[in-house]
Amino acid sequence: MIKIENLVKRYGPLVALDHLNLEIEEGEIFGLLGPNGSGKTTAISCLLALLKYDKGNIEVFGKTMTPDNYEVKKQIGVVLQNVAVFDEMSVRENIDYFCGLYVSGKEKRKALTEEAIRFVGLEDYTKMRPRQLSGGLLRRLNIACGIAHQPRLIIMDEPTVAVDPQSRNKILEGIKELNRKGATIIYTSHYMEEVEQICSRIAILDHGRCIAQGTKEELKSMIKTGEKITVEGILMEEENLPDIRNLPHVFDVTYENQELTVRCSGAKHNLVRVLNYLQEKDIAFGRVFSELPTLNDVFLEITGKELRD
Amino acid sequence: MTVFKGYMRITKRLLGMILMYVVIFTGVTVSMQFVARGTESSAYRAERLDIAVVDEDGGALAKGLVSWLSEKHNVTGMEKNEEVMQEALYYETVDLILQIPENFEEKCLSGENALSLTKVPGTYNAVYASAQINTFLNQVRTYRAAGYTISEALEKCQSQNDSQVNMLADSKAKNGMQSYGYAFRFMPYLFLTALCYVLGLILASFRKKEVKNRMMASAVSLRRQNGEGILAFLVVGTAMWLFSILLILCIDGKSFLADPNKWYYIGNTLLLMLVCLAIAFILGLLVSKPSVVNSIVTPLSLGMCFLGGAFVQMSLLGENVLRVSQFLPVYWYEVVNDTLSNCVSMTDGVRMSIYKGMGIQLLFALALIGIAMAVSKMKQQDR
Ligand SMILES: Nc1ncnc2c1ncn2[C@@H]1O[C@H](COP(=O)(O)OP(=O)(O)OP(=O)(O)O)[C@@H](O)[C@H]1O
Ligand SMILES: [Mg+2]
Repeated sequence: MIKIENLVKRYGPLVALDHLNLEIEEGEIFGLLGPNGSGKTTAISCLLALLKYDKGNIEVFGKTMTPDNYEVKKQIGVVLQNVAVFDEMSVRENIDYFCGLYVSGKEKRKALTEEAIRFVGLEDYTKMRPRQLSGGLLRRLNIACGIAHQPRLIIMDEPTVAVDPQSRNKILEGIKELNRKGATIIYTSHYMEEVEQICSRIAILDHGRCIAQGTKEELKSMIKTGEKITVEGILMEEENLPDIRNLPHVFDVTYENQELTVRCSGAKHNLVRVLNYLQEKDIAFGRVFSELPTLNDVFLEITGKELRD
Repeated sequence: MTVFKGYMRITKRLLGMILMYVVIFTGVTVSMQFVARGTESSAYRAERLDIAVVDEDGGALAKGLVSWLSEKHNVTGMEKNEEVMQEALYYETVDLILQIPENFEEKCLSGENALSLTKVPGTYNAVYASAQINTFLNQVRTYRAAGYTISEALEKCQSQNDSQVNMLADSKAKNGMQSYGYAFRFMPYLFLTALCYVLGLILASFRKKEVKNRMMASAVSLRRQNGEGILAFLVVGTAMWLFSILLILCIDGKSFLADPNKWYYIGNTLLLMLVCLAIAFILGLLVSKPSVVNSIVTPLSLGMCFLGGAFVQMSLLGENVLRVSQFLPVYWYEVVNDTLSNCVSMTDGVRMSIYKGMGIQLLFALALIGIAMAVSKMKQQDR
């Protein structure tokens, strides 16, 4: 449904998008994951023809995307990263206005507006001005304005920043619901949990390049880490580290701030082996976790740095 | 029409602000009148003026006019000599010079205002006399039209108790200017502040980077967005203009409607409205923060109005100031306005200067719209 080929966007000397290639199928929830400044917003802006780009090709619904391709734009809902609402209008008026940019029938628009209000849970705030809303409520209004006309493709750029976990979950569930009803969704975020939770396919961006793409299982299987063991509140000597490193399946050990992190590839009983070693050496420790790899680990292994800094 | 409706919705939210300016405007207009009444009126109320008459015609009507005038004022004859006339006015040996051209009778009866009145600049006394003259001539015309001969008509007018004249002349003389004259003079303040505020704020909202981007991503074409925006501007401007005329009818409707120049006044304000719309448009394009709009509009409108002569009589502004003022549309609006409120008879010369002032305003409006379009194009490209 969407095809981005060799997209290059430069801001002066800075290359914000470096030969980006993405393909998104109808019915997907496609996640764009990347740290701050990795080019997510830039990619979205190019996709919406809001930005001119230096090179590349963008196709939406099988047609080349241009600024005046209004037939295509009509079927797209946009939730931009920066909240775009009118301070002089109430919550309901704002949603009605943005819905009106796509839907002309008054009755139909009214129904859609009410549905959008319910969707983001702003029923108690319909008469308020955006200025009177808290940051999270404002974000929810932003979302409602973007999806009210029930478009075929919804593009969301970090829509849940500053939204509390409870509302966030509600919104994420809502997005899944929209998807079930047939909307294709492009979802941008630097929260890997969110992306993992809802996205059927994920592209990881860094410095304007797509460094990995696939389902989360595919992504995780791309890396060596099969299990990550974290031991907190532990006091030990540096000389113990090589021993741990030499345990079977272990390929990386770090010890910092009384916290030991051991990365193991696949296999079973890794945790038992580490704990046995600590017991043997009579080393005291606090809490212990064993985790399956996260997208953060994927990012870390490919780029050598944490996704979240 | 979603975009248009959006503009209107925001305008509605700003009505309170418009109302505030209307109240200020009305307050200033009324109080200026009050001040003017206090200072100017008593000094020359029933005063006899020194009027010099240059009679190039010498016909019956001219003679009749002069003899009628002599009963009310100190009338002296004068040669048609520019230098002598200038001097007399300069040293204020006369208050007013009345020139009666050749073929006066014919011109006058055909309805043309052939008389030329020159007064000492900055005085209002002459207005009193000129109103009297006008009324007198109108009466003569009326009698002529009713079938009387010139001499009969003159006789009728001479003998007539000129109560009507007094009333009309009185109000003009008392205030120096009619109430609506003040209202029109301050109009630029109302238009500039109200329109710049409201439209500046609306445009700022619509041009906020986020909203602009969001709108560009929507299904409404840019051309359509602009079209509906311009329509909204025109509607708001026209509403403001109509409202101001209505306001004047409320303040002093009776005498305004009696003013033969009322259409010139109205046309002049229409042009002013266009100019103010263009200014508001540019302001909205350049400024995208509501708080900045707030802090720009007040000095902008006050400055323009002051320099343009909306607050202070133009004759009181220094020559250097006036030189600068000429580059302000408000100045030309006030020129037309002053001409209209001082004008006793609509001669070709007066008409020319009115058209000139209006023409310049129109040029200003067109130039400003041109600038606005260039700015808007420039802003669109930097993305
Ligand atoms: N208008 C601009 N002019 C110059 N550089 C820009 C501009 N917009 C973005 N950039 C740069 O392009 C790069 C990509 O920015 P972008 O906004 O796409 O990142 P992002 O992935 O959306 O980040 P975030 O998670 O913070 O939203 C950044 O390095 C940013 O500094
Ligand atoms: Mg971004």
